Amino acid sequence: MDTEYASVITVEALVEGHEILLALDTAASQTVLDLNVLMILGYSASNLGKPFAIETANGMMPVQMAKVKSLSSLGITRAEFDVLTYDFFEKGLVSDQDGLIGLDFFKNTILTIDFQKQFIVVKQ
Amino acid sequence: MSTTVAVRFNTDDPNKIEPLLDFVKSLDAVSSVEIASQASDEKVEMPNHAATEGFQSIAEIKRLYPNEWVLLAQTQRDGITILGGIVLLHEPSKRGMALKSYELIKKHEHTSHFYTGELPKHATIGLMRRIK
Repeated sequence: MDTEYASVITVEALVEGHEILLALDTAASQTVLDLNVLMILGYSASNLGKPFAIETANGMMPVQMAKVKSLSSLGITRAEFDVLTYDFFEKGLVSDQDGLIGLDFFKNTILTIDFQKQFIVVKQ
Repeated sequence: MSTTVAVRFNTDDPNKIEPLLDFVKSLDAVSSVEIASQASDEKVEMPNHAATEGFQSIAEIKRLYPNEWVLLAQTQRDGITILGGIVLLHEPSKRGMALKSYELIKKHEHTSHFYTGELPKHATIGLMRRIK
């Protein structure tokens, strides 16, 4: 857990074995990955789901659904996990984080964020 | 498959270092221990070992490839901070790196990527709700 970036909690994650950084966003219902990360893993826009629109903190975004083989973070691994994706770079979004980890990742868990002691506990 | 780990001591005192190295050598999981010379504070000299050939510290990578996206293998971290790794690819754009990465990451472990320049610290990527 790292809260260096003001209110952004950054966590390490592994997507199909590739190490990435994700912002933990308890206001996000779904996990989002930068399309460029999926391209690193061999995905292309054409083999993702049909685009649809979402409203984000950065405005309207056309996104696609992708099913990653595995996503691991904070001791939890989700297999065949659905994520939303859009091209951060195309939208002028350049960040150390490769996406955000949303509440869907923590489904059926107990998530505790201790801001005083700077740690996160996830119990399944 | 083997893993090589670089350890940097904060002392040159052999009386403190040698007992630790002797202990590490005694472990069943350790096949060899080599002492690397240290050229500078920025660069970690690694043993000439196939698994670590080309290992570079984060400072060295940033110096060699300023303001570029870098794909790493054998990434070493301290929490979310990358300490170093083996540079597989460096490109000025994230898209350029992404397009060339797939074949490379299939052949390596502990892959990661990062930007060697400064990125905004407060970029907002929050997803609120689907509207259509």
